[in-house]
Amino acid sequence: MNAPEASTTPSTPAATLTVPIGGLATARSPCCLRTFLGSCVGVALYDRRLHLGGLAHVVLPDSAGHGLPPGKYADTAVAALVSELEALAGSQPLRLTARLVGGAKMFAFQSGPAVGEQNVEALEKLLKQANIPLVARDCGGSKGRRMTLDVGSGQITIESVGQPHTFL
Amino acid sequence: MSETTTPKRLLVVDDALIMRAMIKDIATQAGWEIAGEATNGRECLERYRDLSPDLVTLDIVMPELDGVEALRQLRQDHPQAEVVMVSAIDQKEKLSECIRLGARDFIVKPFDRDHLRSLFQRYLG
Amino acid sequence: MNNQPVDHVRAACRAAAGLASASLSKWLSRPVTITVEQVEAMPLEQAIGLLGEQEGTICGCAMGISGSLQGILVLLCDDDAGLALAAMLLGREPSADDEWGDLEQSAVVETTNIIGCAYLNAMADSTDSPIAAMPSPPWFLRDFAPAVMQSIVMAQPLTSETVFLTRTEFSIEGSPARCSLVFVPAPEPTAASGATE
Repeated sequence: MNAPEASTTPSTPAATLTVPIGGLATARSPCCLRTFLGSCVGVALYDRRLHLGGLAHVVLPDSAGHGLPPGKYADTAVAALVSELEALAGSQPLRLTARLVGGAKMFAFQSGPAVGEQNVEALEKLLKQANIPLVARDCGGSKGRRMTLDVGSGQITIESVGQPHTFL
Repeated sequence: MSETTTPKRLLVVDDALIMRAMIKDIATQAGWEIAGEATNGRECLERYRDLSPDLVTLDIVMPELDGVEALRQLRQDHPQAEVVMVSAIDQKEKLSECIRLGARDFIVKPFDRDHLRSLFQRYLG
Repeated sequence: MNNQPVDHVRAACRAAAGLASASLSKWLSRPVTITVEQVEAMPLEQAIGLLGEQEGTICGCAMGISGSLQGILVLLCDDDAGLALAAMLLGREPSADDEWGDLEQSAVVETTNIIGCAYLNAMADSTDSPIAAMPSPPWFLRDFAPAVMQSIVMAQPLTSETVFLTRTEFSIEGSPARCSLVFVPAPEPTAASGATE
């Protein structure tokens, strides 16, 4: 599997970019950003006015100074997404909202605080500190999710095996 | 004049549907009547109390209450209970513990069908 | 496990894989071959892609291991392989119409229990000091492959940038079905970060 790229701006109209574990990607419309989530949490930042979006696949809550790749840790992911979206926006001010998806606990025998929950808590805190409103979430449960952010419309589609699609 | 003998009755305890089906099939072929089934240790204790079977086959790895703990409680409450462990666990400590707690036999999965059939035939006597 | 010399760990895992294979063969009443054997530390991203780049659904049946050996043990296969395995155990020919019902699921769950325990029994016997390794009841799930792999490797706390795991792939005679038994041991509390190669 390729190492996750820090950011990608595809030129093909309506391309779908898959963000791997620990990766992050930002894009302008038209584009879809997609990732698969088990216990990991996908954090999507979106500007409705500028049609810019970013998606990070967060694995752990705290980089403890390691920091690479930035998408892997809640603390570095939010900062990196904001920084790249600011670069895409240029001189125009960003008005971002956030949505969180994932953090499932897929095996019932797992004991102790699940890493998924820890990721969600860490991201909630960081988004609050960054003044980015958390407007929707689909977290927890025991099912995996395929999350797709349509950067054109801003809609997030969530697919789970054996269940109807949900939308954020 | 032929004697009618009351068939011996078996309680099958295993969380796997397929394993219960296999054991019931082998026991029936060997002449046993199936008294009932249980899917975990807790159900095992309840069913034993209700059914008073002649023999119990008991798995170890089960939800709610595992087979070793069920064996301990079963033998405490019913010292006459006849139990054969049927489990994939084949570690010396566990085997010894089960025998110490009063299990009559220990069959390791995957078992040979003929071997289990012979055991059931033996326990009929 | 991380504190054992690498050669010793490889030898123990190889022996365990052999016993698991023998156990599977006896359970299915047909020959089984080991087609892949891995015992290595790898980056997280590589562990997620362990079964290839597929994004479809896979079946996973996992057991949490506790005692002096800790970790997660999982049997992984695609739908076709899982249903073929169930058909073998239920004494019928696999069919394109086969679906996951209680009995089919139970067949895969019990297969995991049997070969997983065979693997653990061998690991328990592999050292001089007795190891008790008790599995939890197997937990069946069918989900997106990347999500399943994430949950397997993330079931253990990540104390390093790499994941140490063992993988044994089994091939069953007379069937295209392949399944993989993956063991991800829990890191030792005092283990330093870094790969065990």
